[in-house]
This record gives sequence, C-alpha cells and structure tokens, in this order.
Amino acid sequence: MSTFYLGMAVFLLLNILIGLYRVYAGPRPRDRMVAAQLFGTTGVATLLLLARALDAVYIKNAALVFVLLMVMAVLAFVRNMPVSIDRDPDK
Amino acid sequence: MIWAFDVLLVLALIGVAAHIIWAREHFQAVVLFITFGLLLSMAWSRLNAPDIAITEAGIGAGLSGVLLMNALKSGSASRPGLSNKVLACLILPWACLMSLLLAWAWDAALIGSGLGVEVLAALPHAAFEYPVTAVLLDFRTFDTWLELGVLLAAVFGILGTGFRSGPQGRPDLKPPEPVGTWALNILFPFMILIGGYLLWLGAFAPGGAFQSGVILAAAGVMLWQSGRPCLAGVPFFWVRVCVVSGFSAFLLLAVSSLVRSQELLTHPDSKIWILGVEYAATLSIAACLVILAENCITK
Amino acid sequence: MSILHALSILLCLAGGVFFLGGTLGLLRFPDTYSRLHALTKADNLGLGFVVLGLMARTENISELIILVLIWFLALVGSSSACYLIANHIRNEALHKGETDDLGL
Repeated sequence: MSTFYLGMAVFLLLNILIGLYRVYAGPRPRDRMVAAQLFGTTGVATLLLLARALDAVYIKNAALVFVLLMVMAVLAFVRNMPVSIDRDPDK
Repeated sequence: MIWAFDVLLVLALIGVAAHIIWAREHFQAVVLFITFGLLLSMAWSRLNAPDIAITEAGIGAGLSGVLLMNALKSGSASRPGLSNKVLACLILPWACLMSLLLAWAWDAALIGSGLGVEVLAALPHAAFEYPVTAVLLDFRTFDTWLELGVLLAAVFGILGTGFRSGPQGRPDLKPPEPVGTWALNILFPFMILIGGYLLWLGAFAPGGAFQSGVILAAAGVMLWQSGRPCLAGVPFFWVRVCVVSGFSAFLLLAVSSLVRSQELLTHPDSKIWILGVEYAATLSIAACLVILAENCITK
Repeated sequence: MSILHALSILLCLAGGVFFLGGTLGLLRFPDTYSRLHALTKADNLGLGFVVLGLMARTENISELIILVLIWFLALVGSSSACYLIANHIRNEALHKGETDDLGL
C-alpha cells in the first residue's frame, strides 16, 4: 500500500523537476515567480504523501508549516521588485 | 520504490544546487534556493527527522526566501557566468571526490547509534518525554544558549548598520495592500495558533522552541509585509526586552544554578523553570528573526 | 476497509492527473497570465483530490482536521499569490504605458 503513495510522491517530484525548466527558461522574473507557485502546492502534496507512505504522522506538521509560509515569498517579490528590474532581457 | 524516490531526490538536490551556482541571474538563484529548501525538507522527512523537516520548511523555504528577495531589490540583476574552463577544472575533481565518498559509504558499517542509548537511559530523569527536546533543552542546554547568543549577535550586527532607519531609527512602513491584507487576516490567527501548538507539542512530539519561533516570526514578517506595523507599533524598549529575553533566561538559569552550588545550568525539579526558559527562547527567536527580515533591505 | 483503500487510490490518481495538467500548462502556454491561471487552478484541484484521498485513510479525528486545515490554507495562499503576481504584471504594463500580454 505504501508503494502506491511512494509512487505518487515520485511522480509529483518529477513534476517539480520538470517545472524547474520554467525557472531556467522563463524570460522574465515574473515567469520564475510563477514556478514558485508550483513548488508551493506540489511540495505540500508530496510531503503529505510521504507522511502517509512512511507512516510518520508528524511530517504533516512540516506540510502545515510550509503551507503557512507559502505566500510570503510572493509578497516579498511583489512589494520589493521595482518595475524596472522585471524587464524582458531582450529589450 | 523507496529506492526510486531516494535516487530522484538526491539527483534533484545535486542538480538544483549546481543550477544555483551556475545561474546567471540573481533572481533565478533565489527562486531555486526556495526550491532547494523544499527538497531538503523532503530529504529530512525521508531520513525520519520530522523536527528538522519542520524547521527547514519554515526557514529554508519561507523566511530565507523573504530575506533574499528583500536583499535583491537593488543592484544589478545578473552576473557573468562561469567560463567553460573553470567548469571543466571543477567537474573532474568533484566527480572523483563523489565516487570516493560513495565507495566508502557503501561499505561503511554503522558503529552504533551514537549516543542514542545513553540518552534513552537518562530520559526518565529529564523534564520532557520527547528525546530531541530533552537533549536540546535539558542535556545540552549550553549549546542552545550559545545558539541564542549567535542569533543575538546577528541582530546586533544588523541593527548596527542602520540600513533601513527612518528618522527615529525605525524601519519605514509600506502602504497596505488589499489582497495581502485579506490573506493576512486569514493566515495570521492560524500562524499564532500553529506556533503555540508546536510549542506545546514539543514536550512529547516533534516541535519545540525553534519551530514555534520560526512560525511566530513568519507571522510578524507577514504583518509587516502587508503594511501593518509589526515591531514598529511596539515601543522599542519592549522590542529590546523580547530580543534579549531568551539569552538572559538561560543566563538567569546558569547564575541560579551557580548560586545553589550545583553544576552549571542544572534546573530545579519544578518544571516551571525549564518551561519558562523555553517560552522566553521562543519569544526571543521570533523577535530576532523579524528584526533580521525587516532590516535586511538594501536601498 | 478495501473500499476506502480503492477510493483513496482513485482520488490520488485523479489528483496526479491534475498536477500533470498544471505542470504541462506551465511549460507550454505562451504567456504569463495563462501559465499562472493553469497552474493555480489545476494544482489546487490536484491538491484537493490528494487531500481527499488521504482523508479516506486517516485513523483519528486530529489527522483529519490537520489535512482539511492544510487544504484550506493552501487555497488561501495560492489564490492570493496568483492575484498578487497578476496585479504586479498589470501594474507594470500600465506603468510603462504599453499593452501587456493580453493586449489590454
């Protein structure tokens, strides 16, 4: 039974790694920030599946902490990044 | 199946770390650093260490992201990449070292479980049931005391540079933002609640002063990011009191144990002492981290 | 118990499908708005299905409450983050006085 949840965790980890391509290739900082959204939700799901697969109840607390702090990086990006830096590098 | 997960996680960690070093734009490196924090939290979960997983999720993926983004505000956005010659000179020694390490680790036998047996034997005499908290706050109180001292030194350094001081020497506020305010209204009570829950949980399950301090600091930083006064609304005297409360609580404990001519940092049998020290440490960690996050902005 | 096991497997698989859809959207859509939209909607739905699947396997009430809490907080965080990024893009386009990706 835990094999299935581990398999799902592997699949979601692959999703994160594939999504990293957007961080590599996103032409502007805003595209890379969108990838941070991906890590937020997918990471939480992976941690929850790991908690079930390894039968360790307290990893859910790690997922809870991560979910609470997910929006802080986006807030920091939006409030501190002046519009001049978020420019397309080709222009 | 567990092998597939482990190998994928290790490759992901190494790949993301290499990408951080090799990335040309600073912002790319910051986003990758947040990812690295998440992957490291997964690694700690896999290694059966929930305490470190919780702390890594809080600091590595949350507060470090805010600190780095704040510091990224000014300055040039990119740097020249590593030249191919440098990469070629680095890759070969790295590959040799890694293969040596793997070959040694493959055959290495576990000598024992470290000090685990002694800790479990001494656990009934400790104030906590959970071995990790007992080691942190009971058996190795001196190390925790010094960690709080390091945090205090960092806060002194940041406050001494005075980067973000307004006219009264306090960081200025940004105007409030509606969606940030809405998210804050919902998340802030939960952050305080979960912080208190983890502090209480630390006595018998993964949790404790550090994890709780990190979440409370995140609550304070979110308050400040949404344009509400966090530490600026409190008279600076009380901010100073909060910042030094952890270190001085340990100091009081040490002095009292010396006065009673016992060994250093032995606490009396009543649990009030060690719980008071733990709560003071939580407050101190939260206040220090909020000051670090608020003041780490370059103009 | 096998009914709950089968339900859990089905729900987690459905969540996986939505996560895959979100990642593909992130990679293949042409501009930032559509990437953001695809990612936020699909990933949150996937997380909902995964949480439902795990809720079918919990043993006591406190785990159930923590799972529902995680789901609810993830929804709050993702939706506000999505809006913040989109608003930032819009403000930048207005600030520079040109039309942004959607031609607005």
